[in-house]
Amino acid sequence: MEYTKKRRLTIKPKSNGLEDIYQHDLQMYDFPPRGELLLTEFEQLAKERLRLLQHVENNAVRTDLKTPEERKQNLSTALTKDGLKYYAHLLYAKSCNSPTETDLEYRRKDHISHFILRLSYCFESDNLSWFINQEVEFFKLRFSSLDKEGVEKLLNTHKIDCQQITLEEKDKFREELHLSTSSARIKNIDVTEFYKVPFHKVTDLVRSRRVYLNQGIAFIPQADLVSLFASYFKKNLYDGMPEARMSIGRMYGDERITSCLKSLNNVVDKISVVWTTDTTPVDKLDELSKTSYPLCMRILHEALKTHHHLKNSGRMQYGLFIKGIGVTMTDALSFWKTEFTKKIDLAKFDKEYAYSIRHTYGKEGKQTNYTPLGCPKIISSSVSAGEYHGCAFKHMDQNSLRQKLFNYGVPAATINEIADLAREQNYLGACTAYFKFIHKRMPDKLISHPNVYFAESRVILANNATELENKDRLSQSGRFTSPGLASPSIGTPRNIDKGIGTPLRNTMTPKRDRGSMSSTKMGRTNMTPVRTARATPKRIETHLNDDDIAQLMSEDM
Amino acid sequence: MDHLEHLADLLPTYYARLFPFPDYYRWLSYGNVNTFSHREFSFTLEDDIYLRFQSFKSLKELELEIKRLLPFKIDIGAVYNVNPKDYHKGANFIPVERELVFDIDMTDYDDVRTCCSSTDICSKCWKFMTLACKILDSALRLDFGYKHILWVFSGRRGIHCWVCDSNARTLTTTERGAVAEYLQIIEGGQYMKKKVNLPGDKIHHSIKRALEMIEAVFVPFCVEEQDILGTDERMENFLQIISDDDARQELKTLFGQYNSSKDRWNIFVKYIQNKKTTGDKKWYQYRHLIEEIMLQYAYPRLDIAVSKGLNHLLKSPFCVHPKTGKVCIPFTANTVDKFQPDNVPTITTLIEEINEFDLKDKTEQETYDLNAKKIKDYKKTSINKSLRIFQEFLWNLSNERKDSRLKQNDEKMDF
Ligand SMILES: [Zn+2]
Repeated sequence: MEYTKKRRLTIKPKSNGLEDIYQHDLQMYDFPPRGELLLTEFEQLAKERLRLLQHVENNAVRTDLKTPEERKQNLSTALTKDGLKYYAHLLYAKSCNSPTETDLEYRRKDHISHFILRLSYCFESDNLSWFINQEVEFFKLRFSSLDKEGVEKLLNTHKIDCQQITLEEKDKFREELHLSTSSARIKNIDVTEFYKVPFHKVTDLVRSRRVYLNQGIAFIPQADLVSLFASYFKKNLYDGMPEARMSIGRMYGDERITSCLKSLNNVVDKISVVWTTDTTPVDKLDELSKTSYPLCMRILHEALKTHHHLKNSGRMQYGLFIKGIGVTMTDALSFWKTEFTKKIDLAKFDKEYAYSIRHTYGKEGKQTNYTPLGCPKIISSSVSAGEYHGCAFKHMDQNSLRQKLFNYGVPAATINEIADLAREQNYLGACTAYFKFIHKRMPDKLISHPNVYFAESRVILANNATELENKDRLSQSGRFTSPGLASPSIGTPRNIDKGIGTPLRNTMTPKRDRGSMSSTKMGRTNMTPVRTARATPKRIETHLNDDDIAQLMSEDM
Repeated sequence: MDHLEHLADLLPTYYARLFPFPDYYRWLSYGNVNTFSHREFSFTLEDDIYLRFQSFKSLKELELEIKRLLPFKIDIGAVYNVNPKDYHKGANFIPVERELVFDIDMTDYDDVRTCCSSTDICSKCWKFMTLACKILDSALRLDFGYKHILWVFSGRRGIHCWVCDSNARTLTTTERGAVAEYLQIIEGGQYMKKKVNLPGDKIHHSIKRALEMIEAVFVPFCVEEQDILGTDERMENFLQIISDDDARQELKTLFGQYNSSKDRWNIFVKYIQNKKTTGDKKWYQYRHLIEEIMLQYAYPRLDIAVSKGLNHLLKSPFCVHPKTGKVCIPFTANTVDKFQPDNVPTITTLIEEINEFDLKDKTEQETYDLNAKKIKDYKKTSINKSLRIFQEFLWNLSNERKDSRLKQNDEKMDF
């Protein structure tokens, strides 16, 4: 895509053959759009696509929606409500070979708007991976709408490398194919077509052990082709980024375009609002853990207080959370030190743990300003024996969850409600139910981040306190609001976001460039890590943790 | 054991006469000088002085530096796009290649082993490592098609696995994560008592293969030797895996009627099988329960964070463990049954062996007045066997490189 500085952005005479250009409802975006575009349309398309992606993200958080159909239904409703009917239409598009004018127009909008956001998102690695994650998610949902012809056409157009297995192979591996492919995918092996692809092309199937592997080759049933396409699509997007960056270079000087692109980015930056402006003193944490912490953090706090230790991932999850609620680094250090030194000596603490705490505050190592983990990250974390982190509703079994809630004074009916939601994998629902019980009301925002939970809680408790003051009445919910804590000065959230719903970021948004942390393909090609001089030799073996933390933060979901 | 005291005295001899520098270089260069010179090494010196981002242009440079610094521990990191020593502070410093590695540590078995805990190990619990090695090795070979797998004793209480095939070394973080999670079956923290959940009605072929290996030893090894149902506390831990209150109670009563771990296991198996065959309305939650419990007690426990990262450091083979003095020697999955940590040579015994040999050699020479024959030092010691394993591994790697070069040449000839 090239732009001139004229009012109308032109490169080549507009081709009327939209039908030739847009042969398929589902695009891989492997060529940039051509033609001319009014700046106003440019802006509008960009903003609409951004809204689309935010809806996609909100939809992805809904673990209660299980089937692609349910997810699509939910997304479609949200899109229609938000005036994005053409995306709702594209969501269900089958590939139809004889497109109408409207179809072609929708495809064109889809194409152009995608490329505008590419320009806006191609520079910063966090933004980029957010953008790509949402695009891939939207792609997968759309892929599931395609008919057989649609899939085949996509395979042929993009020359995707996969080979159908022969009848002999099917007979040879019949038992293994039967065992290792999800039953939902193969009702009857004889009528299911299988394809052979290198295993690294379908990492999601490998990861969840839903595919037969033999000598590095994955045998995927037709119904799982979506994984193959999604990984092709994703790679395509990453590979297209250098070109996007170059096009931006060529547009330097056009204020309106660059400022428009910048504004798109800013929207997203404001979305991940989790920080608390005021300082939260550590001596309030015990009480706050009961009044304003989500269950996952309450459990970590309790485990730390009981065992005077937390393993690395637990320290990360809880440490970043308290950083987010306004515990200063000095306070955090003394907080961890107080607990840990009940079990180990000070020298050991200083040697093995102090570094990583300073590191989470960006004061050591790569000086990355880490952001508290959000729910998707927490829900997808891996938890091993002796660990307490993760999402309470996902990582606790029913018996342990019920017992814990009981210990926290939750009445039986509410325990049942929460435990049932957890069992149905509706973790956000369970978390919200817990919130509702603690605060005697629903949160105003969707709980999709522990620090959002905390912020919501503080607002409600502060309002309660004000109301009480105004009415000069005694606290009725004294059990949950002590006067000291209810004062708005502790932990009041800033920037309550007024955006659509509560979009949250799968990846975090530290202020500094975290390029160096990403070891994905993207990381290999274009990152510019900011490293500060580190004097060697150092006595701290736990430098190794840099990589663990970076790893944790940068992993793909 | 107090090897730590003498380690600094022994290391000069170890690095001068025993550490296999040429083979080590052959391994880490993979036929390409840059692969070696862009590799990060990190050294832990005496008193915990820690040096990261070391790199070396040649075998000679590496050898001289190691002999000068005498590291207590050597870690191997990733191969970067540029040489780490000079450029690790630069803006464009990116890991590009790294073996796919696995780290299995005995401490992760603390909730299922009863003979020892924390840093201790014995020949009984070492069987967990033996089993882990066999299960992983076969999955890596059969499912993923890897051929160049180096197993290394970690020096104290665990094992490391280095997958060195070229297509394993170039996996991305996401791809490594996928392989690691595929192989990770045991999941769940303090509040998740049942740590294996097999979805669906069928059992994946890879898990099935693992189960066959586990089933062959489960009763003598876990049920009898580890005595997993031998005490009230162990029974309690076992029963917590069962989520259904009624079944748990019934089993508790049944267990009370028997005295040995084996009898209790048998009655448990019978009880569950009965549930499955008599059409109990909760049969679905019992469909894989016996298998899931066997996996929970015996399937490999991986620290997958180590496997996922490209730039994660892992202790190098042929290091000397500073606490035990044992050498991190390679072994193979085929012979792992015979591997015993107790028989791993320590730096002290190796140096004694050299001295003895030299002494004997000298006496013989004096006696028969023969020409002094040069024998490589390692051949005089019990590390010889491990080195032969290492050399065979290297030989296979270089053969494959030759094959692929020939193939490339053939393709060129076609034109
Ligand atoms: Zn033992």
